[in-house]
Amino acid sequence: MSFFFTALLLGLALSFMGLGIYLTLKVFRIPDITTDGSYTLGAVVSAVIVTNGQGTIPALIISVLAGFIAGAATGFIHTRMKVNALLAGILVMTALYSINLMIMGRSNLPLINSRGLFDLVSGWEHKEWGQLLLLASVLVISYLKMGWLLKTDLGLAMRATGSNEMMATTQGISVNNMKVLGLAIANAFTALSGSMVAMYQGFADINMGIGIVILGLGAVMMGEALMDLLGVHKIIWRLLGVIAGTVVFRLLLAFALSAGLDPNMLKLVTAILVLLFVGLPGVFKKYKHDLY
Amino acid sequence: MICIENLQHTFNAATAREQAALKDLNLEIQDQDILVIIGPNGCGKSTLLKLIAGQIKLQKGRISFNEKGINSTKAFITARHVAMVSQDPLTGTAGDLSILENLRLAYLRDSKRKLIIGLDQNFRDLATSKLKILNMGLEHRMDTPVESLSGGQRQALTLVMASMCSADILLMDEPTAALDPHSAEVVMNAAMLLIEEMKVPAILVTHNMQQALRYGNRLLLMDQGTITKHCDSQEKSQLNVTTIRSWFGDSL
Repeated sequence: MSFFFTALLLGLALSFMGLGIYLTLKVFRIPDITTDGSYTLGAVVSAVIVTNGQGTIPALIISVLAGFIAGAATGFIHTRMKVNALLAGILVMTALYSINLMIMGRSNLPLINSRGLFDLVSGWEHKEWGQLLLLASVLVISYLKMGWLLKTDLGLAMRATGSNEMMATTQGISVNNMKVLGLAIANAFTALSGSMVAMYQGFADINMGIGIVILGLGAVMMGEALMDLLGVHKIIWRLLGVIAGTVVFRLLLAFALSAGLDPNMLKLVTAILVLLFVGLPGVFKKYKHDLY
Repeated sequence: MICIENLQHTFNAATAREQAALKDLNLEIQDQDILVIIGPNGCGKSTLLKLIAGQIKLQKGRISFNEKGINSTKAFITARHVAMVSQDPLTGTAGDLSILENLRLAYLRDSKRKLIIGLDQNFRDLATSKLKILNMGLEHRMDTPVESLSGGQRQALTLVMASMCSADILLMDEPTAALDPHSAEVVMNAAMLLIEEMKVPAILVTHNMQQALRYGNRLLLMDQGTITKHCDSQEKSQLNVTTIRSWFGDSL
């Protein structure tokens, strides 16, 4: 049971990244690979700050800021230097690998004396419930913030940019500025995820972000498929779908591991699951079309 | 007043595919003008509109709105002064967003987008009053995603969006080309009502000669990047379809 409970907590911690990926992939329609780097960046920055005893709040704030800057860098390269978004993301992600190593000074940093945010519940008899409460609280705040942002006038301009760039331009919106801002905010959320996971797991590792974007994509696709099935179109509910998707995706992987899956095969299973969520709706549509 | 002086524009300049789209075009549009432009394909009508809207960078000449030149290289900055309705109903609206959200985006065309939720009851009331002009019942579907509307409804919505915020000019580039005759009629009637309400000069580019005769107070005929005929209100009232057709032969 505790295995699945851990998976649930990790799913919640990764949901911040799910919200960020929703912003880039579904709102802006940009496949942003910066995620792999900014997730680790959040973890690394938090681990270093917490290890140096400078406290949880500075760790969270600086991690989020670092993610914001990383995303803005991708946005800048994409919009101002006219580099393909995918390539811009790969460039920043690659650069972040060295930057993360430089910040951490080595490839792995354990949080021995302090677990940051989770110190608050370390004395609890059932500290896992405290961890759940903490993660859920920060997640609810982030979820509401993202929902609110997308409803504001600025958020509408961001959504219009993703939906129809030409329309956005004719309505006086700088689509380039919106993309930079969107990528920055998305990667700030991803860095928050990295920060939470590092504090929860008790370490930051230089390789912890490798392939994480696929997990996020799968989670977002799954959440979207779920909301489509329920016929829900309101943004605030679709964001909830993303969180549900992230948690369920993580639980599915945990289930696969508990059923005896070789951990080395985990990335392959993740990729196949994502392919199923991305590809199956199209196959069903064609099947239905052929039937009638 | 919109003043266009010595406007020249060449596509693919200094290449084998060089094509002069506009050749030394001069035009004045008074505040109360509704200018109708007709001409064969490739005569420079759409290029002229895109230059006024800032969607194409100005190469040579000057365009001024109320004596202020617009030479910004950024289309989104020029767009703050221009209301535009394009030929394709899909280009003027954001399909994923609701009718109300699209209207809000248009309402803020010349303002900064802030971190506030502007979709309150006051704005809903304003949107309702604007949508009622169309008489299409869209005011009862304000939370519906725009992608579920028909082409005619989307084009009509684009027109209402154009009127949500003050502008120096309204540009309509074949706004009914993709619509059936009934929708085209509804959209054009709404356009005239909105132009009257906005009190702005307007340019209507059309291939439809009935529309060219029915709407507007001035008619321009363009061919090969220049204005070949210019009819004022009185001359326009004496025109008929056969006359216009004779000017252009089969090319219209």
